[in-house]
Amino acid sequence: MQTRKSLLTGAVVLLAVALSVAQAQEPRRADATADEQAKLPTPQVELPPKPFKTAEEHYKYLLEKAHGGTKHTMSTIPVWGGLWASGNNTMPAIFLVNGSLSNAWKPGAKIKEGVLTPPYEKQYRERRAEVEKFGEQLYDRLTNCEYPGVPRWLWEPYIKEFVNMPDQSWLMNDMMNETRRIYIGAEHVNTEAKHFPLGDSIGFWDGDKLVIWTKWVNPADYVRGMPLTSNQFEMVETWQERHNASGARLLVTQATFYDPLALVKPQSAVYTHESRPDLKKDGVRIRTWECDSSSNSYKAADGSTQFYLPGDPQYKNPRGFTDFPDLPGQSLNPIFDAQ
Amino acid sequence: MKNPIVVVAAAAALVVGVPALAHHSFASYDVTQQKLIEGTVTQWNYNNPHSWLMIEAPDANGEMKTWSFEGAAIVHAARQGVNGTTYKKGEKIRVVMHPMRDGRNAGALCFVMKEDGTFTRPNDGICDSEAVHSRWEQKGWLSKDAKSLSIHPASE
Repeated sequence: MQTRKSLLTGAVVLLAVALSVAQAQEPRRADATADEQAKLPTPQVELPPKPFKTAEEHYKYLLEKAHGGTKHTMSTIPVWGGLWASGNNTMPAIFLVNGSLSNAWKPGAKIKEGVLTPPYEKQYRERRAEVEKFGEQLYDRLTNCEYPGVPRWLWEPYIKEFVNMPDQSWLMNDMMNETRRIYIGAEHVNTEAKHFPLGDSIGFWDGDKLVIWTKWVNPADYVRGMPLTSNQFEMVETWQERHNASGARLLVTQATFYDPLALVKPQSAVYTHESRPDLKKDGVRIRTWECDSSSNSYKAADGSTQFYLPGDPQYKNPRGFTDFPDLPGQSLNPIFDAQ
Repeated sequence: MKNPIVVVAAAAALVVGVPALAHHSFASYDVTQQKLIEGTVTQWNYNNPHSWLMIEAPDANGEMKTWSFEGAAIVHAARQGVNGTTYKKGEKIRVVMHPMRDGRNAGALCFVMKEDGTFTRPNDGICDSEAVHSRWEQKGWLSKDAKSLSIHPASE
């Protein structure tokens, strides 16, 4: 009995210490980490109304069902104002047994067989073997400021804003200044005759639901620790604002991935974004995302991630460089320098 | 009734948080070790894709060197109560970080203590800063006698 009382007292002391530490600052928000994101509620994955071989078939079927799409005006179009942050998603469950945001990039997860084509499954096994051996993937392609692109854009855990207009929707992520432009009621256009990190996206409205078809995407990945995508990747998404159980605004994205070179058959996942008015209180605004001028991480000869540090000839000081050091007012860091 | 000890411990676990995902791998940091560095702020680059805190502090030979610590992207740091004015030039601070595996004067930030005892956590999820801070306090590793460059295992 005495032991039980001592243990209980110890546990209460532990909680008190933890609480006092947490109260030294604002408590960490509920989606600040991938593990915490993984605990957020996720709607059910909605599969396409019937199997489609291609994204084009899928999109055109939905367009026909919507009778060519709802023609919104600025007064009727859904407004998804404010700041948003990535919530939970089911994408890892496509590729891993019991896959979730918690184990997507960490050791211990088992690959689902037969989802990826043989060459892509082989590559994915090599990637996961590296995760098992070193605790995580040794090198992420974003290290050298490569654009996340789609489908990775859907989860990148930074801040997003969404602007809907009758002829375009702008889906903006602060990371790498990646804005997806969705051309409403338009056809695909590719005068550059190339692929792009975000591809080319067209869409239509079905009431309050935005339907998007994206193609001509660069080969990329779903996220670190997840499989690669090929340059034949295409995606059909539906976006709709809903409310979660507590009444908070939620954007739900049902996505179906078509990638005949990488996927044995099309796969579907649901992603969420949560409205975050609290970020405005923190003073968060989307600024120009620096990377080329501020990132000193690089891929070392052994394939690992390394960093240039002050004193290294390759080091880039994000606040320190000017071609005109003798000219007044050329410092990139005037506020800090004035201290 | 549920075991109250389990309930309390679970609540404590919820308070302390867990690692996140950044734009690059953290494999070049030794997450099994945590190191204390005490020095003077020379730069606070509150930048994307990662913030970096630079301080001047003695190395193992007593020579003053620049030490560099990687922290969170702006939005993640902001969510943890840190912003561009949190650290001032010339301010004395203590940093607890995961050192680089190659032994250079750098590491991944876990938490920063200011001279007045204020706890700040601009880390990018490599470290469960509240839990680590609590452990360092309990072990006495943050006492005023604690030596800069002292290193401790991340777990028992």
